[in-house]
Amino acid sequence: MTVPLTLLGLLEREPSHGYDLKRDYDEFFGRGKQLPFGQVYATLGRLARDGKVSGGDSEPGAGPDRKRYAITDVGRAEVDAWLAEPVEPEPHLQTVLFAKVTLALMLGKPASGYLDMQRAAHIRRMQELTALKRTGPLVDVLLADHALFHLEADLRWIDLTSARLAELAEVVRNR
Amino acid sequence: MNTPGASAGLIEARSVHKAFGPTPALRGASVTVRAGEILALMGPSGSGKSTLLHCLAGIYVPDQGEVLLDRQPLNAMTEAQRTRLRRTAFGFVFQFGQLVPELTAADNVALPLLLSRTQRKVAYQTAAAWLDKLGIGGKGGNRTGELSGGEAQRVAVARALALAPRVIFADEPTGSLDSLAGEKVMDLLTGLAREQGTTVVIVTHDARVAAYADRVAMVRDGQVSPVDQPPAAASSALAKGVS
Amino acid sequence: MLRLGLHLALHSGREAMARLLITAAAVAVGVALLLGVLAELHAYEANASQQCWSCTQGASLPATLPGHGELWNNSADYYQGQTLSRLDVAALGPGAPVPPGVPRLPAPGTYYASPALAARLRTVPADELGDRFPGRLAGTIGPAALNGTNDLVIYIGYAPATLTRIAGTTWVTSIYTGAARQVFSPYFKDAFYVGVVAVLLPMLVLISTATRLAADRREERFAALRLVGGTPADIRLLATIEAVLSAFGGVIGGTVIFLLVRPLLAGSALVGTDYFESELTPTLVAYVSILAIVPLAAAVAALISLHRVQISPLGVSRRARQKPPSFWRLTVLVAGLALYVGGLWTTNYQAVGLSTYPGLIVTMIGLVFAGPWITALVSRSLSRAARGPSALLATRRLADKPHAAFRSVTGLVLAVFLGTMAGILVPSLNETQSTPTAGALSSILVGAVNLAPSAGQELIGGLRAIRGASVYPLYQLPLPPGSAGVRKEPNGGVIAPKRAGSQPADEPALASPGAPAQGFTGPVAVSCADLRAIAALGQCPSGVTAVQASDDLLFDQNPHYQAEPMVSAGDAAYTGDLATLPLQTVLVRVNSDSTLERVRTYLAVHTAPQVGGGVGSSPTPPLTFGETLQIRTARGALAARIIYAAVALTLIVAGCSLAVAVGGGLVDRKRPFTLMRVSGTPLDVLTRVVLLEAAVPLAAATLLAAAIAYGTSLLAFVRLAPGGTALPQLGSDYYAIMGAGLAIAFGIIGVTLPLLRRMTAPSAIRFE
Repeated sequence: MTVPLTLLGLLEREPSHGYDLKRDYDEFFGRGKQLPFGQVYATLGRLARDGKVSGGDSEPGAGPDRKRYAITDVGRAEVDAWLAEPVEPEPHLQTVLFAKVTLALMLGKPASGYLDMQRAAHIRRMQELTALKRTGPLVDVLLADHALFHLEADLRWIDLTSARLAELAEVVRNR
Repeated sequence: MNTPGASAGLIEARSVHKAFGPTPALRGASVTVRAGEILALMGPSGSGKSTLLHCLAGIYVPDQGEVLLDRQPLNAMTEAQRTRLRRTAFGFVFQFGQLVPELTAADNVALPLLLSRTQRKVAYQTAAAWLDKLGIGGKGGNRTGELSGGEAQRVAVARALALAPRVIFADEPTGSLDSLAGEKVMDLLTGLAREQGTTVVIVTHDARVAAYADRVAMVRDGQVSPVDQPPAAASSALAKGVS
Repeated sequence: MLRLGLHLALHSGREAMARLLITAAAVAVGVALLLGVLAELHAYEANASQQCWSCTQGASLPATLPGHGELWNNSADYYQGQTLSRLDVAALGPGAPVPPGVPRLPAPGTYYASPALAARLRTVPADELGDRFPGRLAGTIGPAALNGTNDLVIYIGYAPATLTRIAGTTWVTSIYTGAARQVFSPYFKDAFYVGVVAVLLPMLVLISTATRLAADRREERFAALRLVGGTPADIRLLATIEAVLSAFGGVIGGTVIFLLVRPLLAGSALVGTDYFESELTPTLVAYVSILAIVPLAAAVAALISLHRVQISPLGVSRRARQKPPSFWRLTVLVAGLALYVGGLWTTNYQAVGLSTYPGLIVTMIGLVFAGPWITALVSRSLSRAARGPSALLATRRLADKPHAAFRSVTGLVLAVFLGTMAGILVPSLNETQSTPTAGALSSILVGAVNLAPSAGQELIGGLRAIRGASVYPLYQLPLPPGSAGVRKEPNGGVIAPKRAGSQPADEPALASPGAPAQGFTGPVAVSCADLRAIAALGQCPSGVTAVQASDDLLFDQNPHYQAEPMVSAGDAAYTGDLATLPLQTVLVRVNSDSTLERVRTYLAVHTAPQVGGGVGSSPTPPLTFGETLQIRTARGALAARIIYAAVALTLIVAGCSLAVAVGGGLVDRKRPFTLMRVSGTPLDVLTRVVLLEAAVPLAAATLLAAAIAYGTSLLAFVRLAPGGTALPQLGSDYYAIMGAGLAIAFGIIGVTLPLLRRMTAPSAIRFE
């Protein structure tokens, strides 16, 4: 689910062509793997169909990659909702958290606030798991411990990133 | 349990300011601790969380603001009265136990009772019972120096619980322990406290320790906020700094 | 709560127990010393206030003997270095006063003797002692008449008719009940007090050092107590309990030590012979007050030591950072010196100046006070010149904590001060007495005999018959018409100058038996052959067989004057027959102690007894020049013994103080030192640091103390000694004792060094 929302977020920053979108995505979120053009255009098509994106005027004589896309109000609302809502606390959340923080910084949204809310969600989950450990069988205890350690790792990342937000914002906005 | 209209809890800090020399440790920290709950105060080092704990326990008197215990202002009490509270109403578990070195475990647990002029026999019986509950019943005769870190912290917990306190204040109680020992201590502390209905205030930077609490609050830059919200004054500043 | 305090005091681990025991030991030594001094004081006072029966003054004999009272002849004899006090007494009627120590007057032909004399009479040949006393032993004299267990006293009973014939007999109706006039009191009584303070100061330093042992751990303990709700008052109570406990243990221990050592103390009487052990005890009041005061003082000390720290539940903080010692610390020292000099200024032969002794005490306290300042000063200047890591470390630490550094050597500094004063003053006590010629005359007895010519020749013959004795008679010359004869008045004072009496010359020139035997000194004729044999008293002009001289000086108590030559080349010759003159004085050279006593026995039997010259002047027995010298020096020697003993004790206490301080310091700094070794500092750097930290304050303060002591005692000497005596130098004794003491001090530090090695072994460190 992240790719559509990430592309949407990038479009909120500024309208752009599919080609530019793919390039930006690869740069920030690709992590060595490039997003296939097909996926880009398919996603854009779906977003346009859902009314979150408007397919812009195309240059005369251009193919689909010359189409200019822009975000709609519906799309904007969806991005806001997505950013504002914390992710379900589970292990292996790096991708999503990372995407959200970067986009928030790009869009000038309150990134640290989002981090705080995520922290709260993580802690709530950790409280649940700890309570589980009190009463559950040993196997459940071991699984809970495993989850707790990962959640703790995420929390550490959240703390560190919170501290680095200003620096990160500089980097992101100067692209 | 909470009585209706008890938005004033068992202990309440209202806009507490405390500075050591030129450095302010607390800048208008406010928190309410409800009776019977286990509250964790999380925050990075230097955030003032230990200072807040000490103010709640009446060890420090705030420069500004007040701390209320059952609606009675702690800072208006004399040193003697606050000392008396530490003997009768408050228990302490600190990172390094703050046990009396070279005294035995039983001596240490019995100490607050003896200081309250409890009869010697009664004091030592209570001590033995609590050491048992903490699973170190056989270590009563050992000196503090002969115990492992985990055992020593359990002695500290026993000492805190033995005087049947209203509140237990714990500052990084597992800070010097390994994971398993730390788990044991937290299990015992929270379990026994819930049994007795004792309020517990834990200060920690460790999320897994905070997870044992019923409620978690963040302490940042000398102020307290619920964990999912930034401090009121700082949030707008942060937002401005980022955009 | 009390029980909690005791439990905490006794069960707080090895270091706390060590502190408890060391403090108790320190207190024990101090209490033992204090009890000893108080015992001495009590015995001295008891003696001083004893009835002086020999001070009794009789009236001259009436022509017919009265029917009440008694005939009284109190004379002095001498036996082997001890005065023999002799009373020849004859009752004149019932109810004659009885002297102390006996149930009744001895019947004629019997005598009562003191236990020591009775023992000697049993063992010594009769012609050396027993023959002097007519009659047989009827019993012993009790302690009421004696100053000590070794006193030689005898009461001899006579028929009145026999006693009237002996020269010097008086008529007595009541016996003097007052105490003897003590000549030494003004000097020695105050000196006692200075001695007490001088010995107690290092003791107090030791106790305060011991109290500071393991202070950090103790404060940690108190912080934990505060956390669980102990009030500051609780803390104070617990600290006080600990202090009182160790003080109590110390008082008990000290009393036990004193009781064990008491018999040894009996040999240290200042006046007269050994004290009776029963008198050598502190009074009950003294015991009780020590029992009460010492624990009280310990409690106060504990409270004071808590004053400087603020014990909060979260740990300990110093109430205020100790300010570096200021220049004003010197004022106490200066004030003490000023008082001392002022006191000396007002000293005369009557009494020591009022502010002298207090000045001395204040000077000692001033030294203790100024010590940290001196240490700080010296270490600051040294640290600028310091090369090498150990010097740097040591001087920095000294400059940072001069109080602690000086505290460990305070005792030694005081010991050096006392020792230097003793080193100057003690030899000078003897300096003033001895002269070279005294040695040559030491075996010559001086006996005033005053006999008519025939009796005199008989005496000379009898003396010559004693094997080993050579007799040199001095014959009495008639007084020049109109001139005053000089009545010999033996003087009893030690320091008072010789006073020549001046009585009118209308007394008969001859003393006859039955008349008061006041001896005469005056012009004598002596044979030149005899003078040559004696050699040291001068030589006749050439070609003369007999010469006129005077024998005044021979009877002077001061050996300095006594041994001056009585004849010189300018004296007039005597051309008459010496054997026709009355015999005034005999000089007898003896070759052994038994010969000496046989001579004295012969003189006791055949001449008049030596009686006193009035109130306050005790009778003088026939003595050799050597014995006269010995009497004077004995007192000085005794004082020297006591003073050196005090100095030695002070050195020991100071050594303990140093050991405790250095040892305690090592324990406190175990972790920093170990960490230094772990990070590569060689052990001998640390060793040098420890040595320097003790050596620098010791050297600086000791030099100052020695200099001040030298100055003050020289000042005292110059003020008090007769002019012309040479300035005393510090003798080899002094350097030996001081050297030994300081060597021991560093030996102690040396002993702790292997401990340093073991304690700071890197393998012993724990990092968690």
